[in-house]
Amino acid sequence: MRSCLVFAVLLCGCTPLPDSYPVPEQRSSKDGPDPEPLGAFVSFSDARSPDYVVDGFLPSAPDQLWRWASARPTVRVRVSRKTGLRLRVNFAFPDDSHKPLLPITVSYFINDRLLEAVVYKQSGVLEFRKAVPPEFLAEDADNLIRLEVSPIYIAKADGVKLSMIVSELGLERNE
Amino acid sequence: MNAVPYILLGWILTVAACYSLGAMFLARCPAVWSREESVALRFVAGAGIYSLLVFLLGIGHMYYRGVFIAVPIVLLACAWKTGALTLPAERLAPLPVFWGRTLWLAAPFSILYLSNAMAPEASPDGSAYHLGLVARYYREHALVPVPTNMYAALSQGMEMLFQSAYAVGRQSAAALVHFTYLMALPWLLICFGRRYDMPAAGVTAALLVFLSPVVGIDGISAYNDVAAASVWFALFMALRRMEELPRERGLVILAGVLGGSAFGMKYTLFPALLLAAAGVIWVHRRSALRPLFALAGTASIFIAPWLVRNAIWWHNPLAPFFNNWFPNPYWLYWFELGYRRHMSMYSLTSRLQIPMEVTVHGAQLNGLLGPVFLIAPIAILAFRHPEGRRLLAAALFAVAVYPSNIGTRFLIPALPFVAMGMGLSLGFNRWIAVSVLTVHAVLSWPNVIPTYASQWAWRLQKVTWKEALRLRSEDNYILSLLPTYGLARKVEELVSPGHRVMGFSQLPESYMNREFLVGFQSAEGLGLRDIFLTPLVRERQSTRQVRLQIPAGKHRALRVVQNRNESSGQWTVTEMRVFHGADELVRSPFWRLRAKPSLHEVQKAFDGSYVTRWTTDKGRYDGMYLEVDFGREELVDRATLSLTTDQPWDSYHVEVPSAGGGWTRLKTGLHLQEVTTPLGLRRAVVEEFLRRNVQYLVVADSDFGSSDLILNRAVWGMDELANVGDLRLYRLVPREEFEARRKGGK
Repeated sequence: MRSCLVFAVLLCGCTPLPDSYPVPEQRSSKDGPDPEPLGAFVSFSDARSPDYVVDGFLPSAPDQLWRWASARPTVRVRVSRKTGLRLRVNFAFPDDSHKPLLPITVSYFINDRLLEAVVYKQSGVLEFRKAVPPEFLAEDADNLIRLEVSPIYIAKADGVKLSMIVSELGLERNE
Repeated sequence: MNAVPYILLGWILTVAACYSLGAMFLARCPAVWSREESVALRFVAGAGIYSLLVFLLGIGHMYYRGVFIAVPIVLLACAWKTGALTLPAERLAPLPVFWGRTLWLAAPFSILYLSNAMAPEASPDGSAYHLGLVARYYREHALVPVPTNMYAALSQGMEMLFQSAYAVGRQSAAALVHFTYLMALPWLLICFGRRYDMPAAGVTAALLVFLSPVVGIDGISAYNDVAAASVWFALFMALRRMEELPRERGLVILAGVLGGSAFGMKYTLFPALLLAAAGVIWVHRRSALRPLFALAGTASIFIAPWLVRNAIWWHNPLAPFFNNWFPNPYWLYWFELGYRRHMSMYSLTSRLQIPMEVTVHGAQLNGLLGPVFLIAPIAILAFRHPEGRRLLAAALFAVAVYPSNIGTRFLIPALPFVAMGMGLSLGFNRWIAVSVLTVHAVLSWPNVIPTYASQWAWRLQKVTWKEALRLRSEDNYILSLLPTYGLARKVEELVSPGHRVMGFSQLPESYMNREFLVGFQSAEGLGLRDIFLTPLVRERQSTRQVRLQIPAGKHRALRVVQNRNESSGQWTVTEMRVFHGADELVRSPFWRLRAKPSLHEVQKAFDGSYVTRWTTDKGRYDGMYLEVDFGREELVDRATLSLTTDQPWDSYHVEVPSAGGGWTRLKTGLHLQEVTTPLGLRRAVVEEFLRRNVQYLVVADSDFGSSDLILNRAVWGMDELANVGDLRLYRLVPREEFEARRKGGK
């Protein structure tokens, strides 16, 4: 009985948890800028580029301006209107690895619909541009841009599949 | 200076204190116990009382070496002065010569155990938290709250005994206290056998238990399972004696002391209290009420300190469990659920694996009882014997909570009862019994165990006299058994005093003076772990912004209420903001923030950081909310929530205060926007750690994110200070230094 009383008395000494809290110290913007809505175009020089990647790109080192793509590189982009847009892809086939593979066919898909398949007979820095029909696109939703490349260079050392080097891709105004 | 004299002094003084208190306590009913029984019972019962005394010394900030030398001496003097040390005249029937000789099987094991108990303590849990906490208390000279370690919230009766020994002889003295129980337990079993005319069963049980590999390594370590088994069996003896001497009130008090101190030693021993109550009711039948009150009153003296401590420190008397009943800022309910789930299965795929794991393999459930325990089911044959029925009933109580933690050592409290049952069953032929014991002894010897058990089984390796006498390097010995010890030494060398170190797994904290915070051991640690993982796991990043549009109006407060019911998953909010038109309402010092549940976490949704998030900690239920009280009327027309993608976004509405004092639901338009991951998350993590007073990080190569740390050290702003085995120690670079480096182009 005595210990029960002691127990009860000590319980009375419990500090109650607060019923509300003040606003805490606000983290400085030096920690990083606020997020912004996903755009229509991705440049791999942009630190936010990983947010656009869905599949098919190899990890990159910090501050790298381009990414190696593997078999089916895919990114997602968002558009606020569907008309007057074109697809632009800036990429490269390195001479050392890809010249022996030529000709190389690249098929450009938007939301699983083939935009065009192009046969490339030369290596080096290349660019693809083509207007995108509005019916290929969706507003305020993820639009998937997928590239299918054939043949693909397979690294002898580790078997990694390397299709092309991509620096930028996405949808832009068709001017 | 050689540590051995201090080790022995710390051990002997602690045991002497326990024995003296037990002798004075048992002197209240001198005619109950024989000379032989008294020796062990005085220690076991007195240990519970001494543990309580050390608890009170801790509350009084009196953890000093001098105190732990003086107190045992005073207790010993009191016991001597009052004549309590005199042993009773009654003696048990002598052990038959055959069984006396059989006991010689224990001799080599006694040497093995003593040498290992005296050797530097290198058990995983003993060196990490049993003695890690003891060392912390000793540094603080008091029993202090350690909110970053869930084990500090368990009942710590055994740690109190360790505290006394540690103060004088450090880790090995503490381990020797547990070793004393290891010697007392078989002694009690033999005494029981002798008293109830079954010496063969007593000796058989004593040897089955004593030679068992897991009992050996547990009993020489700073653990508490063998002590728990001793208290259980002592309690059983008291209840059995109560049947013979029902008028002896001292036995009820003794049962209360033992039952209470069992709970004080380990939560999972609460069935000991039930057994005690059942025993009292069985003996006293219709007049059991008074003895039951006496039992409960006595036991509560040993239980209440832990419950009261927890209620005051952690707002949860049963901390670190039952956090659903007692929500608090220190331990998380969802972690508790996962922890319990893990402990009930470990890494087994089926419970059918348990018998072979606990008897033969010994790796997955941490230790083995020995292959002869495969025949433990023969203990059921003891049901024919009256004592056997009592023993098997007690075994059921002792094994009742085993499913909650299926580690082998959690069978130890039930082992004496099962072993005594086996002894009774094997007793029909003494040669069969001795053959079984001989096989058990051979199979339990350290050199033999690897021939059949897993190489990873937790077990003793060899006799360690040179290590025990400190004739060999203490560091090398610990390192050979505990690879993490190397990094612990590096932490001591490289981390400045007063700085906090965080890691994701245990280090031998009893050998560290720096504060070490283990990721899984507290809500704070789990919160830091969540922060650390945010840049590494896309699902933890708030890439969704939900806009909650409401009719523009002036309101004093605003709530975002969640409408779904899902027991799995969590509702988490990284940031909540309030707007009017294009302008965000600036967070004012007059604002008050509330949440249901997890009120104590609410600030994480209003701190402007994308690496911290408020989490409900108990699934997702209709009516959960986040609330801002503006402190005055504010014009608002929308709120936004930054959410991770692993949860629904379409089940919220806004409420505002109504004139009647309640809350009114507003028509709420929901709009989802996918947004990019915030930049600079890695560095934000480091800033957050520093803000929370964590200056160093220990990461194992096997930890998630370790490779990212190695690749992107400069981005995080961490310096690798040491790499020992697969562990790396990083220093978190302070903001000013990080900025200077960035400007310098490093």
